[in-house]
Amino acid sequence: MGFVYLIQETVALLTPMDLLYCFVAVQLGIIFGMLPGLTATVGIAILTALTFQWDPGNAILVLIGVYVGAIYGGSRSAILLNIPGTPASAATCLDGYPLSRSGNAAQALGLATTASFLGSMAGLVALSFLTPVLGGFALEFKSYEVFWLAVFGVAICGNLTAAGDPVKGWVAGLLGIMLSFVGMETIQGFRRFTFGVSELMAGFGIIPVLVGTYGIVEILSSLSDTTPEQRVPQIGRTLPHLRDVAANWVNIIRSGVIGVFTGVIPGVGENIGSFVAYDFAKRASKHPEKFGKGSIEGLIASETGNNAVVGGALVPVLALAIPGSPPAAVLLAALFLHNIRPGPMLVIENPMYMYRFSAMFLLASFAMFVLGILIVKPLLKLLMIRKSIMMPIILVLCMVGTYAIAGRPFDILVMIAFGLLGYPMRKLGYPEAPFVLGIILGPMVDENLRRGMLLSYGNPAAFFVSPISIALVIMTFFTLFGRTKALRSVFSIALRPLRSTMRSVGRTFGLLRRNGNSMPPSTDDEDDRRRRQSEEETRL
Amino acid sequence: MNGNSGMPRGDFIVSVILVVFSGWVIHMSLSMRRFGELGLAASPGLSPLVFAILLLVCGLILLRRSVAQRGYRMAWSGQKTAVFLRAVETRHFIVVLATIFIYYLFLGVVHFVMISAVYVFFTIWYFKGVVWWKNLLISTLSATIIWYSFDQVFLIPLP
Repeated sequence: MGFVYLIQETVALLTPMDLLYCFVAVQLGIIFGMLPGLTATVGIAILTALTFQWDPGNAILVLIGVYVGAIYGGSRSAILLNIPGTPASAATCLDGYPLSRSGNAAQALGLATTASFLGSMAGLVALSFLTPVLGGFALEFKSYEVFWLAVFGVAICGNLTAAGDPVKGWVAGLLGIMLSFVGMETIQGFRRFTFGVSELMAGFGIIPVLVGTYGIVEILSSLSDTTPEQRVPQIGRTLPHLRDVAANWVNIIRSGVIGVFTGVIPGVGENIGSFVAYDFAKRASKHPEKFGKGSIEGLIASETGNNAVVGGALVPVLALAIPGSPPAAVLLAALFLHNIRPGPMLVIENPMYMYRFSAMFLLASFAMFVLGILIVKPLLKLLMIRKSIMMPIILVLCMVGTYAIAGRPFDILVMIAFGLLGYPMRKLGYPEAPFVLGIILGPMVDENLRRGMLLSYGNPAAFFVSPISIALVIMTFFTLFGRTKALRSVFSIALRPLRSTMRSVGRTFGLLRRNGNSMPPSTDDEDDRRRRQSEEETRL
Repeated sequence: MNGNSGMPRGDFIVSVILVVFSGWVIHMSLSMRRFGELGLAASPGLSPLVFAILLLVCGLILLRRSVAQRGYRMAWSGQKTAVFLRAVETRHFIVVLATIFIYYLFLGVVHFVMISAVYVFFTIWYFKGVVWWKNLLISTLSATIIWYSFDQVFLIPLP
């Protein structure tokens, strides 16, 4: 039945005005994505503010269009300039730019468009058919489970976005959660950390925070940066050859599945999804040596992966009201602003909405494919616009967007303040994603922690009783401590029998290179090898 | 947990700020009003307390790590400060920030189109974006289009 509902909602959206909104939004998203310094998150944050007074249906369609377009648009500058327009396209640079340098820029752009479209389709399947399942499961969640889910979301987001130094990711997430406590709390109406400032009673508005953390930081970074800007190469026909796509069907399916599952994980996002898909494609490739030197497989994997994340990231937005990526976090805030309440109750209160949402996503994906293939050359001129011209205009839009939400100049001040906080955070390696996720999930964490304590008469053991809570606690524990040496050695011993089984499964699905020795040797294998070598030397 | 960010001085300063900040939040949380028999469990300070403790732990981990890397050795000198302040990047940052603040202060005082056009014109002029007449055209047109689109078409009130 889900498929029928999806078709019904898609047909309902095929009005001239909706199509116009969708195509304009996707084109705007592509422009946001391709211009270095403007990310999907910045685009959605600005557009959320600017479409605040629109009809919710049109506003959400526009925001989905910008999201889909921006994630794809980042590939343009990645391929032509070796500058990822959005962080999601960082993996695209690795093979897209070498292809462009070797005179195949048009082919690379065409393949990136097709791969992005196919990735979006994988995301659509997840969005349409996984959301109702996850939504039904989420009905089992009570205060205890919701609390742990939010904590797990911030922990894993911190872990993955600051992979080299997870403590910084957790600090960013915790700071976000703590800043969300400013204002009047919902259970007893008590004012926390307001210091008598009446504007702080409602806390920090999510849009000023997002525009400040992403937009102002980007403006400050771009205009302070002294690196010279690059020139755009000339390109020809962008229509991809079908044989290139057909030869990569396994790669596309694998990258789509990886992208979807990376997207479902709270707060992780497109940049990680594309790198994971790229890594898996390299491991499975017959020519791993070509990766990084202009491999079509690599380009297809990263572009399919990052666009599949978009659909995946929207699954927990609708089912659990927890964003799967930073742009999805802004989209979640936009849904709340338009009085659409995503989360477990959506399945009961407005069961058709998820199909309408999926239909908007489908329409935006088609628009992306059409615009991506047809309108290439005129858009490339935009890449020649200097940052010194573009950024002040973007700042004016940030100001307008932030002010438009409530008509308060105080919000502009909040936006600038968060920009000033976000700038050193970025310079010092504290990722923005867990910080923003913390601010969004903070009220949920607070409310459910305290409600849970009230329901259990102050007994914290209630948070560790239900099977879902226990599973989430274990997942959070391993997210936080999984990298410590003690746990790794325990794992290594416990999982030794499973390793050989997994390896054979991996070979079956093509996750390992064909020559059979591509998987990096595990610590145990390495130890065994060294021991045998040492015994051999002793015997000799 | 054993990450090495390669900036021990920055980590040291941030960790001290985090420890002081989380200590202050813990103090504030404990002194918040308590409702009913449940005491702290029902207090509005419960969540800030729990997360401030977690932040304190993270701050202490960072502090320990940065101390081990001798991040506390701050070699401040007048010469280094002068070099930092004279750097193009620092100068650009200060100018951008100052213009944003001035723009914010004049919003609502001067008409939106005028102050926005002046802001855009000044920023492009400072960063030597284009020749002056193109700059004038870009700044006036962009400010007018934004004002017209939002104030007149979408009916969004502007400052």
